[in-house]
Amino acid sequence: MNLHKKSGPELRKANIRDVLNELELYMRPRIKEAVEVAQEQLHVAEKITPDDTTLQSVLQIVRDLKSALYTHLAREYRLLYPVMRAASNGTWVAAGSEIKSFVQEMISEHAALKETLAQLRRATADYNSLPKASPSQKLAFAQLNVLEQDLNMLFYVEEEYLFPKITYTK
Amino acid sequence: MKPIVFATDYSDAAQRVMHYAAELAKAAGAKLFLFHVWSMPVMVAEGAVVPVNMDELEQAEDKKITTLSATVAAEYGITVSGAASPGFAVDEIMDYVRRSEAGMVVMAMKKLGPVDRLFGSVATSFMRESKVPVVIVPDSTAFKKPQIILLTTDLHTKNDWHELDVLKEIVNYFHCGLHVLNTHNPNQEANAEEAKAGLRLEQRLQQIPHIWHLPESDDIISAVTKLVDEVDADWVAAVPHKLGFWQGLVHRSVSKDIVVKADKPVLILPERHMHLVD
Repeated sequence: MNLHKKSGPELRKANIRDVLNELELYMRPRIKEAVEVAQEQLHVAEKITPDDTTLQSVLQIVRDLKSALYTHLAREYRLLYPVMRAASNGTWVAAGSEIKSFVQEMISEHAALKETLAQLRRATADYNSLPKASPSQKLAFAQLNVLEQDLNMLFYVEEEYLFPKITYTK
Repeated sequence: MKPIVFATDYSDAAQRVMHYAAELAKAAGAKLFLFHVWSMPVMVAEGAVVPVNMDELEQAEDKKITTLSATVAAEYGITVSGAASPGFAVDEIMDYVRRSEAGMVVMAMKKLGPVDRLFGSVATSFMRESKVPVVIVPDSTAFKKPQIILLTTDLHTKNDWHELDVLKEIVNYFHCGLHVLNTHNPNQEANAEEAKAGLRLEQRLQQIPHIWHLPESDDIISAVTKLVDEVDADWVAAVPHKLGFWQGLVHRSVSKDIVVKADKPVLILPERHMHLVD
């Protein structure tokens, strides 16, 4: 299953366990790879143009994003997904109340991460490198663009598809 | 806060850590109880066991701990009392803590040699039996009010984490930052039971700001020592799980390893619900 190719109605019909597997096995490594490549290339670009203040501020935002994002992904992967998978019949998730506040927290973290992505977009002028920018910078900005799309897809799948499928039992 | 017991064997390490206990009691607004367990000496002369005068011994031990208590009280301006008792250290300390209605025990941890590590010290034996929190302090640690606490947990529990209420009280009392560490073996799939325990832990820590750290690693001790440095933790907190006989043979005691390797005061939380603040 490729989440990027799924339409909304198709996604709503998909088995919850398949979607969780897709997020874990495909989306999570892809997101982490985009962050790592972007950060690595930004470091290279910074060495080429050490006085570029835009680059420095982009690098700082990426560091902040990475720190918050990795903790968020690990908490979802380690705490939320296994409980959802175990409590799912494929179509619905019947979970205890302990999951409810955690899901709300995850949605709040999505909002914070979206705000950081917006900062990143502003700092990079919509991921547009200047023609004279180094190849590393161009590659980094392109990776950040991919990262933003993947993260928005992850947030969409969770908020519009996965979380509404949870019914809270006492 | 409820009284703090400091168990001393009068070793150099214990004498140094006693100052830590006194500072902690002062910072916590708690009484300090000094306690010493002594064993009966066996005197042998010309092949015969010579009886010792128990009353004299008891008086001497009482005088020693009373004098020490008065010195510490004067130095730190806190209420200190002392007691000494003959017997086995772990049993006697447990009994004294119960009788004195203390809320916490502070013990020194001297650097262990390979043989000590194998057999353990009184502190590591006591921490598994204690019904109240135990702070095990490495002998060279200077006192610093805890500002950052790192809670390490394996999420191997089916309970509702009531034992963390004491930690919450400490965090609130000292206005600490709290970090939570759980390592995950990258070769194992995330487990639903552990995940549920993690969500219950989240619920229990509601209203206590905390930061999770979930590194993929099969070396818990290295992960703890690394994070202690990264977040500049003042205390490490752990909940030792009681292992059955067969489990005990297979699993080493992670809590004990943390105590030995962390090089920071380690707060051992008992697996029961209690309150520390009066």
